[in-house]
Amino acid sequence: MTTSIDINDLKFSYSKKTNTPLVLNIDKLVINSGEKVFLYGPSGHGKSTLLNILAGVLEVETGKVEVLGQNLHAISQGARDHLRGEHIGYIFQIFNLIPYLNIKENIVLPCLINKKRAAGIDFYTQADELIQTLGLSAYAQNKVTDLSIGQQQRVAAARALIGNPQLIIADEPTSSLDEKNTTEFMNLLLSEWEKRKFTLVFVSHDTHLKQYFPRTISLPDINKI
Amino acid sequence: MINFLTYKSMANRKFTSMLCVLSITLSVTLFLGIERIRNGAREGFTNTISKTDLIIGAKGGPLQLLLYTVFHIGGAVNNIRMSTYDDIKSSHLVEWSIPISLGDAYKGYRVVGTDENFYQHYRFRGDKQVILESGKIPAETFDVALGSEVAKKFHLKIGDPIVLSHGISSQAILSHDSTPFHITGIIAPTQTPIDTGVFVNLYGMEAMHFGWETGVPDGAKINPDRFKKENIKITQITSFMVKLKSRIAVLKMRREIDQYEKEPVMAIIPALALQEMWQTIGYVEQILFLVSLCVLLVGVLSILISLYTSINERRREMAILRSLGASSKHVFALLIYESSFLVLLGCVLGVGSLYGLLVFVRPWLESNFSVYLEVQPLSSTEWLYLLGIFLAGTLAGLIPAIKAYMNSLQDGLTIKY
Repeated sequence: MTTSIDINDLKFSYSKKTNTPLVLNIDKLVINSGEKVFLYGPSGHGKSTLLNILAGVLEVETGKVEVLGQNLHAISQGARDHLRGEHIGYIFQIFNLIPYLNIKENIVLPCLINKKRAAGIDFYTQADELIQTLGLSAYAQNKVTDLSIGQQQRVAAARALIGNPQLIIADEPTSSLDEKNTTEFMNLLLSEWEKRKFTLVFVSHDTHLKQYFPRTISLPDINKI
Repeated sequence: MINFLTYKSMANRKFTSMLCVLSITLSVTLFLGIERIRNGAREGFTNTISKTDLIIGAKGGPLQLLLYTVFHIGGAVNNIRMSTYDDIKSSHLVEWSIPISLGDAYKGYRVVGTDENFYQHYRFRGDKQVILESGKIPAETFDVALGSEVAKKFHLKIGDPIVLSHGISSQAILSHDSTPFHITGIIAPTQTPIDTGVFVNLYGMEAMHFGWETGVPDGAKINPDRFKKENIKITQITSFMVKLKSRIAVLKMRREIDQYEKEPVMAIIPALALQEMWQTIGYVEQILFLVSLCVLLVGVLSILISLYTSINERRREMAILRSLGASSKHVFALLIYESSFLVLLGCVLGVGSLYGLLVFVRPWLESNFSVYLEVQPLSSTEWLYLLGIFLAGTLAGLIPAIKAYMNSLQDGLTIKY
């Protein structure tokens, strides 16, 4: 079984001065391809930093971080941007969408930014399918600002899913949703996971949500700072 | 991708983007317009007279000679003898010559005595010739042709009699009542001092002063036979213009005239004198240029201001784009693209409104300020200016772009605000 994320001896601080406190100190973290994982991360435990590293935005100085088989330390910033754009879907807590684009434009945006993400697929057709699946058909041409927050998060999920990325990182995507919307969102996301078998890293401080996942990783436990 | 996003994003900020384009448009129009007027005024001025190689008159100030011969401003201290004119013009070097005789006025407009050479040879603004709008050139003693402005102002037409006054003051006390002139021709507008001239021939100039030998009319009745052209002996003129057969001879001829022994005369090269004169009064155009440059600067700054203020609002947008695989360079390019698009649009609209305005204000500028503007395509200098403006505007986007780039490095995928 291949690994999707493989972290060894990661140490990270925001300054290179020797006495600055570490933000991350993780000995080992492995997430296999096709796995769905609940990453418990209350605030103040280096969650944002870890996600920025996994997405290839922050550069690792000490230790080894492999994402989708690429050693992030060994490749350039440009290559990391490409890796993210082509193979990773990312969902934020809230306000995921570009306000001046309509729903469909928002969904296909990753394919416009990275030509390779769209390689081999007709991404407009896939966008239509996703809009259908996520129950957004009635809104496809709407301005995203007309949508409820629940609907916005579904559009964000569709955008993360387009082009069939191998890894999806969801950063507290339900934290601004009510219970009904949260359940709906989780069901949609997980049914898509069933279909596509991407690696899903679901980050949340809400322990109720771990019931959806076979494996839970607790950031306070693995991050020894 | 970048241009798609830029377009959509600007459409989302329609109002500020439009204001920005508007300020560029206005400053481009103003800048190019002032340039056009500046050049038009200079060319109009330095092209008041062309083809003439030398202007010759009594010794005195060169500027003065230029002013009274070409612009009909001020007067000569001394006239020159007709014999001197005949002598110089008969030189084998001279192609043609135009005599000018000044001294009287019609309601404040200068009376210019000359001959048919003026209508045949005088050139302005390159190769433009004096053309009669109606009638014929003043051939008989008391014939007069009017400049277009004079005719228009006093509603004069062919056949009307006019009485000229003695001296150049508009409140002349003495007039040539006994020798009225008849209008035989009206000169088409030239946008030069010709429009404000009243043109008689040298015989008329001489004849109206019969009996004025003491400076005032002696009141004696003059035998009409004396007014016949063949009986009039022209004794003096004020100055004259010559065109030489060869440009090369100009300096030699000038030296000869300056050393002319029979009478103290001098020669000036009108093209040079006009250039010199423009340089002394041309500081106004420098100021205009500076002012329009400042306006342009403000226009370019408006791009910087509008982009810079938009950056903080767009921080979230940038983080989202980053999460979708955009690099920090993309973010940088997005802003540069926007600034160059705004300034390009402003330039295009500015040039458009320049031509619109040009068509609109041209007649007014011509009739009121004698600034002659042709609707011609953009000159290479103007293209250079536009390129400069485009680069400056794009550069103005550099500061916000760098700021956004830094923000995106710092924020990464962390959404702020």
